Amino acid sequence: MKPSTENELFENLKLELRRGCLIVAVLAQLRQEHYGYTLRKALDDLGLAIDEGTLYPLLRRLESQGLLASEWREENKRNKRFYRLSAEGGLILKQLLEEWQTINASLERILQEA
Amino acid sequence: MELLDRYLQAVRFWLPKAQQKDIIDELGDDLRSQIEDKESALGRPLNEDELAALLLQTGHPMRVAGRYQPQQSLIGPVLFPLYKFVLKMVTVFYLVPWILVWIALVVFVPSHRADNPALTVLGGWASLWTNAFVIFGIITLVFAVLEKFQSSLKALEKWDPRKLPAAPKRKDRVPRVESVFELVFSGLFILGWLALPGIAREMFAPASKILVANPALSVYYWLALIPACLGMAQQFVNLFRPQWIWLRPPARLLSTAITLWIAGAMLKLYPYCTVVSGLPAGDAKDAARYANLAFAVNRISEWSLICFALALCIALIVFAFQTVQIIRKHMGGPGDRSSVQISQVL
Repeated sequence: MKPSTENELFENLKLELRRGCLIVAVLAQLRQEHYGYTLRKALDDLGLAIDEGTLYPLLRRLESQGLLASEWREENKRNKRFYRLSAEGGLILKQLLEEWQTINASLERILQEA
Repeated sequence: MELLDRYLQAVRFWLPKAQQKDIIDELGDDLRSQIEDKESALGRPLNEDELAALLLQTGHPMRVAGRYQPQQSLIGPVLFPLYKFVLKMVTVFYLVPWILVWIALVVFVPSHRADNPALTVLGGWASLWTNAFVIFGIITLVFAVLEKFQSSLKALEKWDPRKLPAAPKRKDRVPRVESVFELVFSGLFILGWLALPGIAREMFAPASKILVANPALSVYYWLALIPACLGMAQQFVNLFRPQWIWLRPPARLLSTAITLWIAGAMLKLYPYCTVVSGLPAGDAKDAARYANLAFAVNRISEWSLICFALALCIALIVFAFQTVQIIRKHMGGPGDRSSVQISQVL
C-alpha cells in the first residue's frame, strides 16, 4: 500500500471512529451550559479537538433530534447561542455511556486475547 | 473585518434560506471569538494575511455550508448497484450492437458505403449519442424517483431468501461430459459441412439450372473447416486434461476470430450467385424474374452473413474478455469477480 493511500485510509477510519465518540463527548460536556466557542475550547482543553465545521452542524442535528435545547442570549455585547442537554438528551446520554462502556470492556478483552 | 464579512456572505449564499441568519450569526460569533483570542495573545490586531489564514483553515464557504445540509444523493447506495447494472445492460445490448452494426455496414457492405457519404455517417453517430443520452437520462430519472420512494418499496421489505438465485459453482475443470458433447457436436458439424455440397445439389437441382454460385466462394468452403477443427482439438485436449480450464477461452477466441474473418471476406464477394449465362432464349418476363430471384437470394444471403458476423463480434468480445480474465488471473491480478459477473450477464 502506498504511504499516501495508507495515510488517507487511516484518516478515514479515524474519522469514523471519532464520529460516534464526538456525539457522546458533546452531550456529556453540555450537561453544563455552553455556547459554541466555549464548548469547543472546553473539549479542546480536555484533549478532544473539534473544528467549527463539524461542531455546529452536529449541535443543530442533536437539537433537531430533541437531545439539546438552545437559546440566544447576549454576552460580552454579542448575541450567543447557548446549548444545554435536554431531559431526553440526558436519558440518551446515560444509555450511550452504558453502551460505550460495554464496547470498551469487550474491546479490552479482545485486545488482551490477541 | 471586511474579509470576515465577505467570507460569511459567501457561506450564507450556500445555506438554506430559513437557517441562513441563525447559522451565520453563530459561525460569525465563533470566528470573531477566535480572532479576539488570537489578537489578545499577539497583543495587536490580526493583519489581512493572518485573517486569511484563519479563514482558510475554517474551510471553503461551500464546504462549510455543505456540512449544515442533510446528506443528499440522487441515487443512494442501495439502488446504485442496480442503476449501474441497468446502464451496463443498455451499453452491452444497445450501444455495442449499434456500433457493431455500423462497423459491419461500413466495412462489409460496399453499397452502404456508397450510399452514405461521410456526413451521413457522422449524422448516424450523432443519433447514437442523442439516443444514448436520452436513454441514460431516462434511466437516471427513473432511479431518482425510485430513490425518493425507496423506503416504501415493498420489494426491499418483503422478500424470501429461498427465492434468491442459486450461487454459480466455480469451475476448476472442464466437465468431461461437456467435452464429449462438444466433440460429438463438432464432429457432426464437420460431417454435415462435408456433405453439404451433395445435399445442396440434390435440394436445389432445379435452381442450379437458373442460378450459379460465385466460384470464389469455394475457397472459403474449405477454410470454414479450420475453426471447427481448432475447436475439436481444444475439446479433445480438455477431455484428457480437464484441469486446463484456461485453454477454452483463447481457443474459442481464435476460432471465432477466424470465422469472423471468413464471414467478412465472404461478404465482400457480393453477388454470391448470378443467373446462369446461356439460358434458353425466353421472353423478357422470364429474364426479369430470374434477375429478381438472383437479387433476392443475394440480399438474403448478405443480411444473413451480416447477422452472423454481428453474432460473432459479440462472441468475440465475450471470449476476449474471458481470455483477458484468465491471463490476469494467471498473472495474479484482480478481476476474477467481474469475469463471473460478465459471464452471468451475457
